[in-house]
Amino acid sequence: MKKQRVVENTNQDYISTLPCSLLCNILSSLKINEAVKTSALSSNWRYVFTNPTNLVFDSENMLVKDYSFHNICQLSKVLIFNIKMKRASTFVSNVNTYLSRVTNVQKIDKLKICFTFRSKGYGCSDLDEWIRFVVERNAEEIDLCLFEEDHLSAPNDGSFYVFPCDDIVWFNSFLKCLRLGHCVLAPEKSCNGFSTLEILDLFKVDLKSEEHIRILLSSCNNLEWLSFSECYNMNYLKIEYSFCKKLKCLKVNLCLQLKAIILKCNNLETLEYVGGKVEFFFDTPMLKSFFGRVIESQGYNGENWLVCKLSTNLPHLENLFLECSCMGEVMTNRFHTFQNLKHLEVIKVAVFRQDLSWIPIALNACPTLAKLKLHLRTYFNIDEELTHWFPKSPHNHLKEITITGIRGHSSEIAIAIYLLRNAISLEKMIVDPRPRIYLGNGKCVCSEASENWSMVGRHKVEILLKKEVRSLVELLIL
Amino acid sequence: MAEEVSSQMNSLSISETNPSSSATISLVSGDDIVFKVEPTIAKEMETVQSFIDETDGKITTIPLPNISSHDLPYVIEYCEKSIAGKITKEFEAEFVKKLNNEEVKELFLAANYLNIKKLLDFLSQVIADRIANKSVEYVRRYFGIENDFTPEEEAKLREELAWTFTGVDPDDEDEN
Repeated sequence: MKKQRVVENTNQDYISTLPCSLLCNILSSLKINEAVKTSALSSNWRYVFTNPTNLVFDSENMLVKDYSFHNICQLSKVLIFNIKMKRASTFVSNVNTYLSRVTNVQKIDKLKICFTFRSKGYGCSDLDEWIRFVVERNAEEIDLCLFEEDHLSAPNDGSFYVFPCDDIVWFNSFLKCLRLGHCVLAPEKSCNGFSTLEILDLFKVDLKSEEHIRILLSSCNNLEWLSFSECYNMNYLKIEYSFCKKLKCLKVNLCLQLKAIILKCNNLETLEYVGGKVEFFFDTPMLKSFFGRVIESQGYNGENWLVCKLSTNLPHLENLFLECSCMGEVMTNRFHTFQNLKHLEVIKVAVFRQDLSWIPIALNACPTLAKLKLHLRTYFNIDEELTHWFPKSPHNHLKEITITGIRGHSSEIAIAIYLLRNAISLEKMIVDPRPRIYLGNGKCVCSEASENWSMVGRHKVEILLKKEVRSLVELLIL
Repeated sequence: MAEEVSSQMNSLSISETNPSSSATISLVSGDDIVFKVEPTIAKEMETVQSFIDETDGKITTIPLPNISSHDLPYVIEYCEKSIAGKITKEFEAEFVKKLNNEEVKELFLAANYLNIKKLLDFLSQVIADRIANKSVEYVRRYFGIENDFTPEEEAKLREELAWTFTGVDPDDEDEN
């Protein structure tokens, strides 16, 4: 019997007899227009698509291919404008048609809208309706990336969509995660709907004024993760003890108008800051990790304000991740003492050669360091013998060293050798030729190793490091 | 084909219940073939695990009447890889390549019956990929779905959903 089985059932329709939840599961892996199309298969499939859990409205899902515009540059401005308007109005009408068919759905988990409306005020009332639709269905995540033209300051012509946070619909919301791009987020009064929020991620969002920011933050009682990236109209970021009591992670990235960051957060664990020089005030007893970029420019007179600030204001810092975007003389001159640092990770970008001189200073400055990761990136390598060595600075705690992005040049190998000689308690050294690129949120990605690594670089590194390595140290060259 | 299946079964040990290895779980397929698996594998299969839990682990032989001895090795293979954390894009691509359309459907039902979420999601995606960019007619043929609409009903439906019916790949008959 079992041998015939496969042949026996060939033309049976198994799929349609699957429970509806499984069919929905299959459809959730499809684009919306593909899922809608299945309603024409048979009466069994007629309404399967009307039970979506996630709504993703973008041009791929909601527009047919004809609307992708090639060669648009050759068209006249009027024509381009007309095409874009037509595209936007088709998008809006398709979304509205679709939503009118799925009104019976009880629960939506997530709404994501990626689209460029490009016209002042166009689509705003529809967006309001779409958001209301999902909030009424207990949505937990809303993600709006409304890619509009880039502005240096917030546009005043009403071209930014105003997120409807004062809408009555928020009274009973389940929203946990809100991500906004190119919007205005400025609640006039305390917003009930934000009390359930755990994640708030804002990109190029106009925050209007200090008072609006205060109302926003005071509404978010359960927030754990907060990010401001290139936001407008934020001069001061002030988090009071009574705001966002559960906040664990704060990220501030290139908010150019910012003058001061005042953090009174009892539970904040991680801070990430990229930007110009601002005033910092910390009352953050749990803050253990900092990610940031040390920007060295004429404007700061070579003063390494960020590192100075951190070492004096956050003496209990344990994890420090720095991206040193320039030659890094600052690192050499002013690497301040971090008494409790256990884990130091540095992305060190150099033009011609890697600089060994800051390494002894960093080792001295971080006496309790156990783990060191150096992510090297050298644009051009000048291979030359090292002319002078730096004095010894033996380090007793360092157990694990990782060096990435190594290409096999003398200045890089010199760093590895110096570390092998001075890290007395070292247990493991990993040499990885793939450079790392920092993505934010504590995550890096690997890129490709340099071309001649496997031909030349690896061999050279292996010979030179094997000479130095003690028997107790595990050396791993990838 | 039949020989291949039986050799596969041999490699997965189809011995009678062996008292000395009480730790292993015996899964009995619908056609009465016994597959011995580690308890960790059983854990991946929620249906099996809840059966074990309900009987306080006293019963280690579990009948799976809805799953044939042809499909079970695939399920076990997927679970083994899953436990080892070795589910990669490459593995999944290879895994699907081995399966014909019929088997994909069978495994989907098996994964549902056994309640293995990862396998279920993966196979959902595989089936979705076979619907995406295909015409309605192709999908009907592919899954053996009978069109029970009247021509009028279908025409009306297509008109209503017009915006979803463009940009379809040409049907590929060879796949079946």
